[in-house]
Amino acid sequence: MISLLKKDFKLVTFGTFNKIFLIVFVPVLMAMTGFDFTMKYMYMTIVLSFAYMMVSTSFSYDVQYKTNLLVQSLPTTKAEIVRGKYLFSILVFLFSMIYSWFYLGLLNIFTILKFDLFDLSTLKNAFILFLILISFILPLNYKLPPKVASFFSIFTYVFLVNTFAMSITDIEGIFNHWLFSLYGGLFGIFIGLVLFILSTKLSIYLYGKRA
Amino acid sequence: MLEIKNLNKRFKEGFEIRDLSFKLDKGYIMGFIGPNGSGKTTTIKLMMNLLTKDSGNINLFGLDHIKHEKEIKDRIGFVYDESHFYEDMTMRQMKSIIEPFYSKWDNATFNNYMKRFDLNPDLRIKKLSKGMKMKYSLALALSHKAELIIMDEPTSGLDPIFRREILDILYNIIQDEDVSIFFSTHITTDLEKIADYITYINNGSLVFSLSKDEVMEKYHIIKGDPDILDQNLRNKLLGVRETKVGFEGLIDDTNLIKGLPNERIIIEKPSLEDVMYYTKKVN
Repeated sequence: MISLLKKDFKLVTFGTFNKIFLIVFVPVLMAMTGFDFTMKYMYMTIVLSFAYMMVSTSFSYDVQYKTNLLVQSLPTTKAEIVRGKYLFSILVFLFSMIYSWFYLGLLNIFTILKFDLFDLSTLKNAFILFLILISFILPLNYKLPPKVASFFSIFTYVFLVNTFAMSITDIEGIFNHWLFSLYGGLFGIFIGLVLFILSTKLSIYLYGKRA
Repeated sequence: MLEIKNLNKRFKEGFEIRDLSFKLDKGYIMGFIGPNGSGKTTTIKLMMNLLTKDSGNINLFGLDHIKHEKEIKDRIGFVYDESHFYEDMTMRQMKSIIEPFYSKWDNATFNNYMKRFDLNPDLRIKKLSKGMKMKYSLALALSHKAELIIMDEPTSGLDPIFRREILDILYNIIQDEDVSIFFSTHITTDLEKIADYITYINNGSLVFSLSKDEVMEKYHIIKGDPDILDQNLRNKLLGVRETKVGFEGLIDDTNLIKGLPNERIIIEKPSLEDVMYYTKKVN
């Protein structure tokens, strides 16, 4: 399992282009969102986008180079390969949180923007959305042809981010939704984790059937 | 080392592997031959559990290939026909991805092979020729103390010099009696140089699995004038090729041609290609 995680992290960080891309991704995204809407939603958008981009990149390399045959021939199993990808997505989310936090911290230090760096409720909401996002897009990648899967993944990502993270109008109303507010958000995390586990089992089944 | 019993796999498109059985002992090279589309790659994918079998048993090192998948793959080195590497990576970067998967990975061995094959580890994989990629695959396959090397068409598309080099490397590997090689190819001349056993499949079915010597002893090419090729003789031949001046056919039992006029026929030892050619006609 650790070997699979190392593989995915190496994939998304190898080469000068990838390294530069990772460094500039957050500031570019911040500039694109224009710094002009509530900081906590910008933070959430950045965390989700960065994590999504990392997971998608690791998939796209496997598609681009047709490396499935190689990976499956290594001392591992198909079930482990799938579990590895789900675990990788969680680790990437944690990394994305810290990484984005670092940039926002810099903006705070230079008093360019004011952001509560310890706003746990934003992190909790981002985590719920991320669990839901991953639960939908990973089975798509294991079932559908790469280009179709990529289209539906982007669609799901844009839908979730637009609906919950970037919707300025009535945003507080959305986060008062029971998914995020019931039992202080614990219910949403529970739902997200149940989806995540079911999605893992579904992906193992789908990948096992794939030649 | 490797034992396949009554293996079956059917695809929606109609192609199937039918009741395939053969075995390979420790320390030998088995050539796995058959025409294009005969099921060689499918069989290898079934052995590696990349495809799910319908029925039958595949045992490697005495272990079931599904129940002990990780343990078995840890002891296998594989080389495929096409490159399945991350081509934008250097060979060093790619090695660093593969290395952690193996419990007995040995960097010193890997570096030795890279030096011996004259490969610069900092070169991007996409810059390598097919022959160099094959050598790199071989270096990876040989650097974790694999006991069985599985190769799918390793010499196809290589020029004769590279092919000879690869065969020499394999020949040297087999001097270590603990290593076996399973080597699929349709270039039968390669096997005449190095194989101990030949397993031949056609249309997903086993034609034979014998030692190379047995194959050479069992089969004979018979040549003669067209007028002695009557229906009786025709029935005894596994395959026949006729021209205006004569015929040439394959038999698997010389007793069958007793009674034919010796002065009018020539009996020769066939090449593996002859055996494959004529038996394909039958199958």
